Amino acid sequence: MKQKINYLLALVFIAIAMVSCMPEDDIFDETLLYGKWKSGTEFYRFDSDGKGKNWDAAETEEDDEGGSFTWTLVKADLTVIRITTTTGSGIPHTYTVLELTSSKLKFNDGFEDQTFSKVN
Amino acid sequence: MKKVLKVALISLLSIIAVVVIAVGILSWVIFTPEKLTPIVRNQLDKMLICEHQVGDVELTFFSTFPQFGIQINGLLIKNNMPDAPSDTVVNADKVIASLDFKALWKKNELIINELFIDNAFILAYTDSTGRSNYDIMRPDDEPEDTTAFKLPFNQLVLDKIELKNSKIIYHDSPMDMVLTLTGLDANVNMNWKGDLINGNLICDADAFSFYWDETDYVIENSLQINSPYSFDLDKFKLILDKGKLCLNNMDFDVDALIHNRSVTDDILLDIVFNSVELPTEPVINLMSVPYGEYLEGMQIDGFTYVNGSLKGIIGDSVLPVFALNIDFNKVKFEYESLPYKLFDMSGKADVVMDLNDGDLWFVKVYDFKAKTGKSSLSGSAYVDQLVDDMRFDIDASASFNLIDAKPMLPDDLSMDIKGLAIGKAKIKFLYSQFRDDQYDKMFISGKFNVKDLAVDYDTISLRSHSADVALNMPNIKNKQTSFIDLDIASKLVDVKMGKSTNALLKNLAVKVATSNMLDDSKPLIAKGNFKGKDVEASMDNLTALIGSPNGDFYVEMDMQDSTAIPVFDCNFDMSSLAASMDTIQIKVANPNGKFVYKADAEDEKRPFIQLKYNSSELFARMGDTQIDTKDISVDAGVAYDDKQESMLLQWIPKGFVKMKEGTISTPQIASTIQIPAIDFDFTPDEYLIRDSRLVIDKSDFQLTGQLTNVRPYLKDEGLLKGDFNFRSHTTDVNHLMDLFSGFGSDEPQVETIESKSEKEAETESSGPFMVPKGVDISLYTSISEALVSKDTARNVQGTVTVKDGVMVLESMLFTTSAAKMQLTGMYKSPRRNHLFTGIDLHLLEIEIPELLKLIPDVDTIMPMLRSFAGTGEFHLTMETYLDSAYNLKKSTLLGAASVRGQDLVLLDGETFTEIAKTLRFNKKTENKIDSLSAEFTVIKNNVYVYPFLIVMDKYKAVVDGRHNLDMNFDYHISLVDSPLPVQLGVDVKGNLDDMKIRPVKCKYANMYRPARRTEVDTKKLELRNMIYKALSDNVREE
Repeated sequence: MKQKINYLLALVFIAIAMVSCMPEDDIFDETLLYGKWKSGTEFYRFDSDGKGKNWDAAETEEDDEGGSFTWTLVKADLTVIRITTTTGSGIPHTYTVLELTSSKLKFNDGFEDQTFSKVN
Repeated sequence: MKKVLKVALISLLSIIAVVVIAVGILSWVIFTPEKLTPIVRNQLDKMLICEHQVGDVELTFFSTFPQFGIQINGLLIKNNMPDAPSDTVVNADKVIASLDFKALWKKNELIINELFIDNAFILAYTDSTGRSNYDIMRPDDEPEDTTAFKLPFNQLVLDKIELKNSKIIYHDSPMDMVLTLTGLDANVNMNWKGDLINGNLICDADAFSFYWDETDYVIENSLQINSPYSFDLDKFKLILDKGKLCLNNMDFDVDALIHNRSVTDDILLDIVFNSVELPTEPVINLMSVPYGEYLEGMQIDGFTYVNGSLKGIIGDSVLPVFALNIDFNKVKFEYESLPYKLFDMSGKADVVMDLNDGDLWFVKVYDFKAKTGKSSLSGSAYVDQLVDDMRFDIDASASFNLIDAKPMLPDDLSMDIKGLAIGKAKIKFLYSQFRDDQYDKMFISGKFNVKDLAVDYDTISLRSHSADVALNMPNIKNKQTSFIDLDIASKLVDVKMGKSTNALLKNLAVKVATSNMLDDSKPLIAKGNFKGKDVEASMDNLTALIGSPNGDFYVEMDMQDSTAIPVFDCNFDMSSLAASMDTIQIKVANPNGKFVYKADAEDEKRPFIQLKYNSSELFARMGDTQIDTKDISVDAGVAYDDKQESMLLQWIPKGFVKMKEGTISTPQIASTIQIPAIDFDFTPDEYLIRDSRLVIDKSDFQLTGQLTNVRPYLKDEGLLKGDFNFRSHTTDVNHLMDLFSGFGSDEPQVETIESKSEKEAETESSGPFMVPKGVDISLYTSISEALVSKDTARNVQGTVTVKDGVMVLESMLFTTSAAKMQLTGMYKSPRRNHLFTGIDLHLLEIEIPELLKLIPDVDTIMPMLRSFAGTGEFHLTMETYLDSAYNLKKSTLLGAASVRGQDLVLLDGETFTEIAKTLRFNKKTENKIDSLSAEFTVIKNNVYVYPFLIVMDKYKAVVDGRHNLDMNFDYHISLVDSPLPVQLGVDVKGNLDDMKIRPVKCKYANMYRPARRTEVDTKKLELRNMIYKALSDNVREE
């Protein structure tokens, strides 16, 4: 019984210790996201009205020609909901913003990081 | 004897000497001119009331031997009258009269043996009031003496009158007649028996002229007359009996009776003359004086008899009848307007001129015969109204060799005509109509049989062994085509064009009537009909047989306005039409219809074409392919607007097409294609398909609907709108695929490098399908059952729309044994190298293996589905852009999918075995999965699998991860519930050839424990729900 209580105390301690050690959530300013971002040939454009465009210049001939989406940035969660042309359905994906400055955007799609630079 | 003769001779000479001496004494001593001249002048003064002059008068003996005579040297008698051509009545250089002085002296008888007048001018003139210049005898003192004229002598006898080198003019103004004899030598013998004088008249005038009624009939022709005559002084009747007359070297026999009847105060004439055979030239010369205008341009050379008469009474109100009979033969005739010479022309002509009434004058020609080069002509003619506008009535028979028609053709028309036309013609016309080419006012009718007709023009030739031609002018049956009615019939006509085109027309009958084609001021109208037994035609290897063709036609052309659109209207009907070319054959039963070409009613400067066509049966064969139909009806009107630039806008169609009970069979398709009906209307703006059906074995199709706003679309002024319904009770897809498999290729082809490159080049050149812009077309599809593979899709319904560059297959619903399906598709082609395609697919109650079979690409998105079996529901939305070769533009790939199922079976496999081993699955564990609920998204090259729970026996596992289209995996499996005391996890990474499975920490231990669920887990589940909702919201409720 004593052993069980010791285990329990240890767990509580560990739990408290772990909670106390968790980093605080990153909070990014969404206004920094406004504008056009480029990574290689891929572009994102985040508009202030929560809409945006995503395209790859290697496969499109015209600027801004690409898929439309809506976006929200809550703390570090950048949720992009791509709108299908066929049915108008929204296809979501959440990216974790790792770094956001006026000139750099870095996020992770859950599997790998991707870094963008601001395009004037 | 000699002595007797000598004495007699001496005595005779002595007597002569005594007589000569006595005559000399009388002439030169007793009756000298000085004594005789006053006597004669005094006597003339007593007898004449006009001015007269007498030269010396002398007694003659030797010149008038054996009678004494009186010679007047210079005699002039004048009687001036207004309007008279001369005031001279008689003017003679010498007048000698030999007298019987004994009778004059003893019996008061004036017997003039001979009266000789030399170089005289004699004018007999009567003015318009009837006064004559020769009325110069002094009247008796008793003014009202009504007794008959009485000579101052007991007897007046004139035995002979002789004129020499004289001129006589007879001028009668009331009759408007002038008769002139110049250079006249005349000798008139007279034998008196009481009041009857018999004698002989001889005269010879160098120039004879005759003018009458404003017309010169003879001008200065020589004239000789030699005729016995008798003259009754009491009855004033002159008779010429068997006289000879020679006018302009033309000899005539003359018999004449001229009777001046005092009782009726008129003159009875009965003059008959007959010519010997005369050359026509002097006759024509003679006739050309009064009738020159009619003979202008003619050359007539031959022989003729000219006989005539002048019979009747000349009185105050009556005139005689002049009749002429001309009998001509061996005449050659040329006329400048006639391209032929006529020869061997013979015939007779009666010319009758009733001088009382010119309207009664006529010419009658009969027994007329003539020849041209190879033609002959015979007949008769009647001409009247000679003094006005001559009216001709000709009845002719002809044997006309058509070679003689060539000179009538234009010089630049290289046409040869051969054949012999035999027939009769009746022609009635006025001279003015002939002169003025007023053929429309002439009456012409005729019937001809043309034998061995041969016409060659350029490469076209026409042959007919026999053809009947009938014509009527005018055509009294129709006012519009009153000019001519032509009727042509032939048992066989052979027409060739070039070496390879031939037409054989049997029992051909053509009737044509036209308006006056010579009158440019009015439209040319031609109407007619045609009829035949059979027509055989061939062109190269094309042959055609038309059975019993018949029809009618109407042609109207504006001859003044060359830009005016002519009218051509043709109705046609035939019992059959058969044609063949190589392996192509066509047979049509009773084709009939109407073809019209005319000006458009809405704009007369625009042509309009109308075709009406009906046939009861049509059979066509092309090789082993056959088309067979029953009734076909076409009524198509097309207007042509050349002001439009677009060819499609230039043609303005209107009409309908109907067809019933058609079948098509071809060896490339095992089954016969039936076409029960096609029925559609079309206008410039609208195409209305009322019915169009197709049946292939079990499959049937029907298309109805309409295409509207066509012209605004063609003018780029609006969208082309279409609304169609496609219905089918049964569509046997399997059978159709079998039927059409390999259609269009005779045998399988081995794809060589060359053919492949050609194919690629063809693909490149043909380019991608571009959705037409400017159209708004909807096709509603309804298929009751579609037989696909071993399955049957039922109630297949949906709408395909094409609108302004976007093609959408909207919510197509159908049910198969594998699933209920709903499909929405979209295709856009903004640029040739930027094509958009998207689908939204929902499969309800689908067998997962069937799903993979149905849509193999799903395996790329969800490769793990290969490991499942059972029934589930599947939703997929996917879209991407493609390049012109339809290659994916992966950066634009976007999609989502959802799979949900119950009671699935996890198929055993190497991967599963390894995963199960890693996760310490019990070997006895069944592969049965209680439920599966997974959502996927496809973004660009990546397929994201959101964490989903698999429940299998006592095991629960959560799977998530990502792979890309290159099939590189990055998956994680968390074993969240198992008999084991610990929660295990594995990562599955790599590719199908090199997959690495490693035990890792359990990532989603609490995802499906709501109380312990982390924020991340919650977020991911929310996204899953969002995805599922987005997909399932598109499912259309039935």
